[in-house]
Amino acid sequence: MFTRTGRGLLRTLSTANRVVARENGDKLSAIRTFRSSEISKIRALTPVSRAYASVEAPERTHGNLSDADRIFTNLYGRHDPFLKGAMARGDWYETKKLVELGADWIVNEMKASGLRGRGGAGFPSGLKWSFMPKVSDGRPSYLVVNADESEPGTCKDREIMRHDPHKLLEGCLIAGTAMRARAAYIYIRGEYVNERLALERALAEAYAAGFLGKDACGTGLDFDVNIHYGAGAYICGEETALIESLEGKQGKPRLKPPFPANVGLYGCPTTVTNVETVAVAPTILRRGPEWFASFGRKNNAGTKLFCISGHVNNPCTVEEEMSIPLKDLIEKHCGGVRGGWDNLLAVIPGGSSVPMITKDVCDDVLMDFDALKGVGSGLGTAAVIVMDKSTDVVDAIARLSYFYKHESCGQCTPCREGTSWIYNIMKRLVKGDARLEEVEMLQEITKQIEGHTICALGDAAAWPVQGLLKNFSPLIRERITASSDAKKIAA
Amino acid sequence: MSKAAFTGLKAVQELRFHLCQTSKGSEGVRNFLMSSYKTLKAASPSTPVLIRESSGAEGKLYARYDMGVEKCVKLEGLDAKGVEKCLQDLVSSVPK
Amino acid sequence: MTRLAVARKASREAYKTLFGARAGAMRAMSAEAAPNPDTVPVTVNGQEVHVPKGVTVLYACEQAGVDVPRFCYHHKLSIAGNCRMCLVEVEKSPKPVASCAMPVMPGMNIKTTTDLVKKAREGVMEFLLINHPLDCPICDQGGECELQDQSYIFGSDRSRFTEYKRAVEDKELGPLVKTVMTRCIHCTRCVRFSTEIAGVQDMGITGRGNQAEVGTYISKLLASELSGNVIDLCPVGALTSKPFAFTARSWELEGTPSIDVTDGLGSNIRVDTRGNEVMRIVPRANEEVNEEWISDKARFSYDALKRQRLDRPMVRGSDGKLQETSWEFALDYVAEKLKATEPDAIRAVAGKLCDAESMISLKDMMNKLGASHTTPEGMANVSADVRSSYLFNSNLVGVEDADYVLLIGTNPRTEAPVLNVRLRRAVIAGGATVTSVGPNADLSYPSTHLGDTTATLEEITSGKHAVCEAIKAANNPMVIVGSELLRRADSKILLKKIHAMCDELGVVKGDWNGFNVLHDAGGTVGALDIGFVPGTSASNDVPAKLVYSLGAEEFDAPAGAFIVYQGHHGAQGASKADVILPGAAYTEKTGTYVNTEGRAQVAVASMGPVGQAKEDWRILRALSEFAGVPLPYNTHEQVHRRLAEVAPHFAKLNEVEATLWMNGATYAHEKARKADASIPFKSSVENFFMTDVISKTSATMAKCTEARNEMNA
Repeated sequence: MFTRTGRGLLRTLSTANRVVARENGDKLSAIRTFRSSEISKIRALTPVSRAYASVEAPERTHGNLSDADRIFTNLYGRHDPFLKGAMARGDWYETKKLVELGADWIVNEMKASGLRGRGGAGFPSGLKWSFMPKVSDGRPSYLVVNADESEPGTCKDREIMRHDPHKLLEGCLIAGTAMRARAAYIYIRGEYVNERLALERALAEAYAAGFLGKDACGTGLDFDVNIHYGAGAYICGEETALIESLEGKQGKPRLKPPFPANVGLYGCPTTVTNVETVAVAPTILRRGPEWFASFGRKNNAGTKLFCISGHVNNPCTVEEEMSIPLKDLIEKHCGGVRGGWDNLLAVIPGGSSVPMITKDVCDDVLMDFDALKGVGSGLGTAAVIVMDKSTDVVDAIARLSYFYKHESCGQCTPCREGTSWIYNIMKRLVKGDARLEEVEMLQEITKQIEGHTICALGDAAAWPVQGLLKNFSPLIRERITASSDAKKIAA
Repeated sequence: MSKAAFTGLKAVQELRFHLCQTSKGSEGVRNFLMSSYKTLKAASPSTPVLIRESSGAEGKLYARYDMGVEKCVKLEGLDAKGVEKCLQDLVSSVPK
Repeated sequence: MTRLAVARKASREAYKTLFGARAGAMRAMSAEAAPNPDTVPVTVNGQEVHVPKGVTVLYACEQAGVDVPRFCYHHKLSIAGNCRMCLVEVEKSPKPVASCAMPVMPGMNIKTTTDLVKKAREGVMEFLLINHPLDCPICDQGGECELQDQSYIFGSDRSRFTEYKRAVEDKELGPLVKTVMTRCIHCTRCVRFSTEIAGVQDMGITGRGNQAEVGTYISKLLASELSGNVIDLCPVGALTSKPFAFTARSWELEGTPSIDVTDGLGSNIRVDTRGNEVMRIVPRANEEVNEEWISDKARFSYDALKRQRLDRPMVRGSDGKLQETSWEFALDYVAEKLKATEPDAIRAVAGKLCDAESMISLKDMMNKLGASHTTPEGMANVSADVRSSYLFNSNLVGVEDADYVLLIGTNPRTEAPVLNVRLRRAVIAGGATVTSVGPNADLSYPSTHLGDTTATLEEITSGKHAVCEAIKAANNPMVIVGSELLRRADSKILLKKIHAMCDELGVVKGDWNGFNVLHDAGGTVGALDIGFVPGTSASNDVPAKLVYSLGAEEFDAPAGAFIVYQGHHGAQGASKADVILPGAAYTEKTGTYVNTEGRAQVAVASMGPVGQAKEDWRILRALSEFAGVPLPYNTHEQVHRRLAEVAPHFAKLNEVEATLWMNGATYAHEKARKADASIPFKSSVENFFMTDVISKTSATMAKCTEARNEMNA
């Protein structure tokens, strides 16, 4: 039945999954490990597309994630989100064994899987979890789950929380064990009322079933999960501001150093992770890190939830393989850009905080951390905002500037004053009510904010504007000239 | 030192001791005060016996008599007995 | 000097005013120090310095003599790191680093003169100025404004901002602090000061982003005795002094170092005068006494120096009315009375604000006349023999080492607000326990009130109370006795018991002397130090026929006694007087004041006495001439030498002496009596704003009293 090694356990688990899947009637091919025969099968099905130059030679295409490889099998809520359905989908299966394998084993598996943080920064998760102290100096450690999904365009965590909450809760236990944490705090944004209610219901179920709380899953360890909700501040998605808000203070980011792994919640070692990162952890452990690492290019492993919105025919949230070409993502899952691919103007690939990329870049860019960084943007939260040629892109970025001005916490000077100034200039640029020198000035102002702030909100406010100026300066200058010409004519 | 030895104190309006807290030269003054202050006060409770210490100060004793007349005696280097003798001298030599 | 050099000098002066000479002293130290094993080497602009482990990059830059601009950083407050003006470049760091917050690593290479740093500073300065109103011409901070200085040196030379500036409503913080919140740059120094130092959680930031406002939100008075210090802290003109508003510019003022006399700490102040008028009083930094702070009373009662002043000699005629007269006549008149009265019927009372020079002159003159009945105001019962029995023996800095503090009959928050800051630090940062027998007051930190009667004290001194164990177990226990206890009739017996307790419970052991007396005015300790106490022959058997009051407002005078009042304000004391000799207030004479630790400090005169008033010791010198007993000194140096003759520590100014503890001998001769159980322990300060003749005459203090009463109503 159960062999002594972890591997054997996993094989047995995957057998169970297979059984479960058959009962559900989903087609499930045999659980596979990394095998070159599989690669050639995929290649046969899809045309070879050029992999982006920064990675190693083997030409391989990504995308086309099969249902058998999905982690979030109830993303659209078609099945029962709560305990019965979750257990049928494989959640909470033999979690005790996973916990008992211990923190070091879990961290090593996470490192081997190549999972990078899904909250926007993309920091290797195994490495991040390993920063927590192995031996306590008297202070308890805490896991904090960042469910304050406020990045414009992002809507993946809410799907997890309302349709598959037990993945998150099991993930909390696993991640908490990996960090030797005493308890987990899930900080969910206040606006997510339904999601919070679903999560609370799932939490009650997990406690009642003995999966969490005292003697979680029968392991002898106590692990509590607490849900706390915010009150409408984007800045509380920043990890130290989130910790401040949890402690009951104003959500204003702290200075780093000291980092939360040293001084975090209530002064104790804390790691703040995104919902998706935590929720995929149990599945990674059960199916094997090599399986997870088999998706995506090197250093960009795994599957990802992409949220595509904007001028597409079917905006949706979909789980796909990392490094999938952007074009494929949009055409396959969203029915293509409104009015055809050639109607595309620009795409913001990772939530409003990353610079936009224009159509010619979109033609062949891959959706992963390194590829997008290579074109001067970033994967962020993988919230793809598609803008077609009908967009007034200056107005769009101006609206984003307003968002950052509104959400700035006001602690440090560049962000507090700068975001407001940028918005005022952008407002005028929409109408072209500016002078030509102000375009240069705007770029300089964003450079004065970027890198000089306490937290990344300053950078996030600066980048969209920089992206606009890099790609659409001629448009802006045209508007300015047209407006001043019009004024001259009127005068 | 008995109370009787200091009965002459009533003729003096005020006594002032200057000394250093740690120097060797003031050791006698310190020892004298530690052992005899009680007796001094018992002999004449209404006479102010001002003890004024300052690091590096020379041991001195001032007596103030009537009409503001003051006499000073150096106590530097003396031992407790020597200090007592100086005090008695001052107390007994009240100027007219 | 070029304009830039002038500006640099001005900014250095400004820095020194706020940050004290510490930075300069540190530089001097580092120049000679050899590498110490507890230090790490860092390079600043190519120069290697060795700094203690764990200090900030800003500290390392200061050690290397490099000026780093900053607004939110203050060495007495916690690190906020939010102004971003202190950004410097550190090799291997992708972004510039906030030097006030980043701890140094060994081998760090810090650069402050690169383009990156220059652009960062200009950028941050530009952001600060875009919403800052163009108020310089009407702003009181102009001329001593950190924003002005730093933008001049580190900012860009032109503005590119063409949008509308935001405006913020002014907040009402009370009669002392004027607010123009549009000027606020949100450095949060005032917030951190109120929370950490003053201990009142009154100020904070409400709102987010550009709409953030600093204030009390609920329209509350900033109810701390230290509220005026936020005026010094605020780097811009958002928080300024209301009484000083629009009266003078900083460059018109001449600053004179002086000492505050309104409480017993001897806080170092600087009196700013314009010509012959005191315009304002600001603190001087002295780490051992008042750090960087002064109380509101010290800061704002100077307006009383122009009100109700005695500026000409007066004599009460036969019709009972005071009439102006000449100095000659007045002095002659008094001298006659002095010569005519038998010495045993003459009393001299020294007021609590007197300087040591005038008190020694009075004592010497009285003694020469054969009179020995000299007492300090209110302290008739206090023995001046042993210094350790009436001083703050642990020293003010020693408070921070204490781990247990027993307050007896004192409310340090109102009696010595700046000492309360240290106590607060000992409690909050050091974990000390504070218990109190006496007034039950909110001290701004957690404390336990044990009771307010002598019965409670009796329990403690006899070893029966529960706290006795804690005191014995403590490493550095402290007892602080309030001055009101010394004014009680039964003070000697209480002090005898407290002394015995100190020996038994280990409050005094080895090098640590935890017995402390907290005086509430600047002149009392000086009086005790020079021995301004009754001599052997002084007795109360002969009723007083002539009472010489040197600035004392409360003194016993039987009906028919001839009263001479020498002081500076026409109040209680002067109203009873038969002859008024106008003296100088503490800002108008150079005088030596001894603080509650026994530290003698000199207050330099910032202006001359008003009208026909003279310096007090000179009046007494002249009077002694008229009375036929000329004093043997004619210059200030000679008086000072006389002081050193009386008590040698007067020769060593600004230093504290280790006091001799007499191990129970101090009160051994006191007969055992019962303490008066009917009188509870009170604080000597009922209304913090009005405790002495100067503060009682001040209109600003009256406004404060009113505001507090309204708040508490």
